[in-house]
Order: sequence, then C-alpha cells, then structure tokens
Amino acid sequence: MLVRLRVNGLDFRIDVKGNERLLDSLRKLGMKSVKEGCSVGDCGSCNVIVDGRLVNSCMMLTVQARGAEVTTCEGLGSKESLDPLQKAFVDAGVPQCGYCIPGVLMTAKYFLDNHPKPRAEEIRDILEGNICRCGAYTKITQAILAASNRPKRRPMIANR
Amino acid sequence: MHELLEFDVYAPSTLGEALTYLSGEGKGSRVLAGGTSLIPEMQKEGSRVTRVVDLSGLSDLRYVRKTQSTIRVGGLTTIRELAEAKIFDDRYCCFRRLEHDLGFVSTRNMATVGGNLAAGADGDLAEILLALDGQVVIRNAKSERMAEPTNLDLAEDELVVEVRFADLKRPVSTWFNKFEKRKENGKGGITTTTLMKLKDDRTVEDVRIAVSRARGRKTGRVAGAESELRGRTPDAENIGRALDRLVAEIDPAGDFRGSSRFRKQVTRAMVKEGLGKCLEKLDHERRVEGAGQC
Repeated sequence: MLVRLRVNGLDFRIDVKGNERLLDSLRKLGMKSVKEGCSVGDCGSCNVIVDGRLVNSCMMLTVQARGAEVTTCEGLGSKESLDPLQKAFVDAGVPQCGYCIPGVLMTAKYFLDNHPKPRAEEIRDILEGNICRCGAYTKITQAILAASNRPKRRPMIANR
Repeated sequence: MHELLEFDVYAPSTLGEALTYLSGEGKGSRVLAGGTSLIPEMQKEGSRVTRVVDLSGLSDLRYVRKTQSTIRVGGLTTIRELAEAKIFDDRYCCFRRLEHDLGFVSTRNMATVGGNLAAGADGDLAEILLALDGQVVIRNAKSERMAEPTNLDLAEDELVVEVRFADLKRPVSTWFNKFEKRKENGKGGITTTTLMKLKDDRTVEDVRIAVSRARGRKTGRVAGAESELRGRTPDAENIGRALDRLVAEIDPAGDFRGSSRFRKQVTRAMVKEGLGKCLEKLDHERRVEGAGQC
C-alpha cells in the first residue's frame, strides 16, 4: 500500500504492508530517535506528534497516519541549532542512558505547545506516560520548566 | 522489534463502505478505531488476525453535539475530544475527569468512544454511560439497533456508530473516580461514577451510582444504595447508610491487584468521595449562580 507522509517537514511516499507500525516506518526513514520500548503504549519511548496530537507510534499503523504531518525528535532542532527544549535538557544534564529521552522530549514539546506556562505538578502529571528507568524525572521536570521560560522556536522546521 | 504478524488492511472512506465490507468479503475482520486495544492484543503471541478494517478515514463519526434534549457522541470521537468538548459544562464532570483518569495523554489522543465500548463492558465509558442512562447506537449494513452500554453483544458485521443520552437538567452533578497503582492502558483498576440531582428542599431527587465489578467482573448500578438516598437529605448519616448498603450489595471479583474485600472498601471510599464532590458542586451552584468548574 502506497502511503504519503510528511515527516519533519519533508514529504515521503512509502510502500508499506498493512501490519507495519508507524514506529517501524519512521525508523526505516532514518528517524532513529523513535525507540521501541514496551510495544503496548505504556512507556512512551516511541512518542511522536501526528497532526498536532501526541501518539504512541507503536500502537499506530502507518496506514492510519496516511497523509499526516509527523514530528519526531529529529524535527525539533539540529546539532547547530538545538530547540530550546533540547537545550534545556542539555543544560540540566538530564540524559543518563538516554533511551527514553526522545519520547520524553516529544511529550514535553506537545505539552508546552498546549500549555506554555505549566506548573511543575502539571509537568509531573504529563510525564506519567513516559517511563525513565534511570529515574531522571526531577531533572526532566526542571528542564521542561526552564524551557517554558525561554523564547519559543518556530515549530516544524525541516532540518535535512 | 515486536513486529506484528502480517494482515491485510482495508481503509474505507465512508461508514457505508465499512459496513458493506464487514458484511461481505471482509467477514471476520477485526475493526481498528484508535488502536489502543487492538494493537496490544495483536502484539500477543498467537494472535491470528488476518484482516483489519481501519476506520481512521471516517471523520464523519467524530462529533459531540446536542439535538433537542439529547447529547450525541460519534463513535470515532477520541477520548480527549470527549473530555474537552465545550458542550460539557460543570454538570458533566464525569467526562472532564477522563482527562485525568483515562490512560495517558497519548492514549486519550488515540482511543475512541466506540473502541472503548467495543473493547468490553468493563471500560470506563460503559460505566459512565450506565450512570447517565445512555444508549449505544449499533449499525450493520442493513439495520440499526440500540444497546445498553454494558451489554453491546456486538456481531462481527456491526459497528458502534454513536452514543446518546438525555441532556441533564440542573441542578445536577456527576463525578468519575478511578483507583489504580500506576496509570496504564490496561484495565483492572477500580472505578466509580456518581450522579446526584437535588430538589429545592435539598432532598435527593435522583441519585445514580455505577461501579466497576459490581458483581464479579461486571460493571453495574447499585440500586440498593441508590434507594437509601432517594427522597432523603444527603447528610452524613444517610450517606453512611447508603455506603453500608453498597458494601453489602456489591460482590467484586478479586485478582492480583486487589482482593474482593479490598475492592469493596476502596469502592466505598470512592463512592463516598464521588457523592461528596457532587454535593459540593450542587451547593456551589446554589450559592453562586452559574456554572462552576470540575
């Protein structure tokens, strides 16, 4: 089945089988930030934004995302110019093993887009859907709070 | 990678196409709405799904609207759209609470009303609709029927297309509660839904209490506890009597998450809180004219 996707501002036409998940397709397209964790929507490692909605890409078939605009962590910023959110994570020294961080960043991006001035309690609430086995939640919360106080970057920039 | 076993996908663009397919060449297909129940199910070993009907193209079934005195919710409305629908003011805190209590934000963005109901009678929405005396509209290629939210008995060629219930008339308040150790997408927590309507003399005109695992694993209303409150003042003594009756009336199945006795006591505490929240809202409405917040 031929599916059109717009990923991080770039258009793709891909031939997928019915059973292919969005997670699998995105990784094949080179978006390796999208990580497989629990595969049933409990850990948030595969979180991406599809047409402005945060979703678990492990629970979405690529066919379901046909024609959609998808944002992954690669679409947030580049090595030369990090998104304020990514910069805040670096400044706070958030990542330990780093496996969960792309999913956390997408959750944070979605959250800040919808709640520009959040309280720490609200951030902790939204992070219920992201499991960090290193237990970096305190620093993650601090970084998201710090990012909410920085000027916003223009969303959805194609970086490649 | 936990790739899914191969299956074919049919993606209709209208409800008619979907129903025709399900009753003809697509007989035996599994229906994919939001995917939060079906995809995890297919991840399990031994899942033998060969055909899937993807309903994501049927945007006509995404709505929350009021016609005359009936609220209608389309089957493909997402839980987030339901929880945030502007039509639901402070009378419908039960729906607003889903924004806090049903899974994660990503789940609420994906899961649909029809999918939640079709996934089983023990879901959160079935319980809320039971308390609202709601009905579920089910359709196949030839006909339409109405069903109780906890007893859909869906055939292979049928789809949940709409949910209906009478718009609540003030002064009325509702509340939904969930107890679970950690948020997750599976079922197994304890949930309660309460509705209370007061007369001018502050006696209870109507009260409805729906709880998960009322009997065994079945969600149900607790008629005895409701009757203890109807026509009486909702003071601590009468509420206490109703709660005692509730504990005697329900018989929840225990499991590794909690014994039957544990579930009874937690259900009691949650219904107490739910009734308290309803009263709080109603008293607020008396003191301050106009809608409050959930």
